[in-house]
Amino acid sequence: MTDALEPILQINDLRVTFSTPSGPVPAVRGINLDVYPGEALAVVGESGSGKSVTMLALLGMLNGAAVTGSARYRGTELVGLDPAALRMIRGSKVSMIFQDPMTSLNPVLTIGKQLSLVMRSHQPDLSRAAARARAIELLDQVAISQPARRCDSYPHELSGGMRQRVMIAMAIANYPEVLIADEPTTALDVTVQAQIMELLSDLRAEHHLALILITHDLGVVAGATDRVAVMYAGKVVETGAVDPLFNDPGHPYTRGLLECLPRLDVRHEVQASIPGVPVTPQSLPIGCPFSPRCKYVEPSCLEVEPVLAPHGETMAACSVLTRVTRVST
Amino acid sequence: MTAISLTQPQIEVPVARRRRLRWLHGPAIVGVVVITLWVLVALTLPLWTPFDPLEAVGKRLQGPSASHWMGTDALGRDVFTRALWGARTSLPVAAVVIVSAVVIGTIVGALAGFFGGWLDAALMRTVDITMAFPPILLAMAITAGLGPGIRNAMIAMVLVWWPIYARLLRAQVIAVRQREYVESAWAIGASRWLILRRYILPMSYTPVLVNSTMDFGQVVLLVAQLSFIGLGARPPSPEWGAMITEGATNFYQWWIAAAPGVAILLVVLAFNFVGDALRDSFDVKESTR
Repeated sequence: MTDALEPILQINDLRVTFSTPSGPVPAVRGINLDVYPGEALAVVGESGSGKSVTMLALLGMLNGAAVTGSARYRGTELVGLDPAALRMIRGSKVSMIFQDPMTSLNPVLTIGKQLSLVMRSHQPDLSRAAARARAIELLDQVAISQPARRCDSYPHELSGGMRQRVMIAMAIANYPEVLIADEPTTALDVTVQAQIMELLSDLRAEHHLALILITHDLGVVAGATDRVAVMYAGKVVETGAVDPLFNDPGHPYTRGLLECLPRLDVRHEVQASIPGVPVTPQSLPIGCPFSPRCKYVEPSCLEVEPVLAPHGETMAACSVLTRVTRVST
Repeated sequence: MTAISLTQPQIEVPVARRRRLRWLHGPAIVGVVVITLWVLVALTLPLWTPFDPLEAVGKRLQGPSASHWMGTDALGRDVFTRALWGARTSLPVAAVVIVSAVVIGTIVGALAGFFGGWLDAALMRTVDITMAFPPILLAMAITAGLGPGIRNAMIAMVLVWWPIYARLLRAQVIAVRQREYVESAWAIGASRWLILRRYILPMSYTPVLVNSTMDFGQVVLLVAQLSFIGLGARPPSPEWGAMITEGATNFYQWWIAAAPGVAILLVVLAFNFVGDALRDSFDVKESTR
């Protein structure tokens, strides 16, 4: 079998439930996702839709939450894997960077030292000198000028964009095959955002890295990814390649998201938005979770929660819109 | 006008600088000077003191004079020499007690805060029980149980003192553990040991550092208290608390008790000044962001 056909990461019916004093809260309610080597997948959804929790769950980083289902990395089951083995997967197989670079670096260590520590925790026999040389090389790879000198800088001496570059350098230091970027550009200026996205795309091409981009910025999605999974209320409600999903979305929520994008060629009196408020995992309606906010809602939507079905070239979990296409084609 | 340079200016990359001693001003300077003097005295005293602290060197119960600056005690020993000599007991004892208590407290607090769960509960209940007793009472009980003597008094003081640091450090570790950079290090595979040692502890030790400086004076005081009631250093050893006991029996020869009393006062005050200044200096939280 060739590499390209085998998914590197297979998530099957992954569920995450937090137990709270007011009862169990299902944050992720059965996710299926395949990630292939070298591809860029965007996971889109609003706050609380479960996108970050899914990723944290597969890295074993949720303490005190019940995680069920399956998440396999090259056939290795990650759910329920023992902590020591999971630690070896984190960073060297599947790596993750977070939203806010301003607070994601250790303030008391120089960035070179942090890079070395991260490398040496996966490769204990790496010498200090070799780790430092590799740290400089990594800083150079993420386009930090004068890497040999920057190596001895503390995080507070760097700008936000540079810190995010350092975070990326740390995340790829141990040659992972999957990089999860949890809203990597949200805390940055727009111009810096573009540079960081470009850097991620370059690294992906260079190292054949699969990129999972968690975001709510559809503008970023269009430019940087191949495939999109839209999440709502702890489930994937639509998935497909970028172009068909943008041109002919099969879920009212995706449509709503796209309509909300500000456009330069249209005069906006009011910024478009999806009416209503997101459902919370504690108060899921019966039937389709999007039904309270949906303009296509039908009585049947309030009875059965729809599953993913083909709509054009995408898969969407909407009984109304997928039926319409089936009838029309 | 000079010609415009066409080469790009070399941008200076800032390099790491050491934290300057900004906390050192006002009373803190007095404190540091006094502590330094005491340490020097304790280290070099045998080289230059004209009197033996344990031998009678003059008439009994003489008042302060040019030859005996703080007079002599009931056995004719030079009180000034003995008061200085007391530092050779109190300072090392306090240092050993504080360092041991900080080490034990750090280990316990770090484990409790970092791992949480039943380990945290077990360790912290032990701390609660220990801290439910007034320190002097518990130290007295332990010393009495082990038998009087400076070594047993030290063991007792360590046992009384470590819970303070354990509790301080635990609170700090719990706060720092939730910082984003800790999670982020975790996400790229740093081991728990590495995270605790290099990511959490350096950001957590500040209150312990400040408190231990302040406590140094308190431990000096506690050593004297235990010796005063006969549980620490025993006569004839020149220990401040023991000397005050001797002075108490010669009530009208005030100098016998006053000399060690002033010595204790100076040491405790000096450490409080320094501790205070350190606390003020570290009070600006998050300054390293």
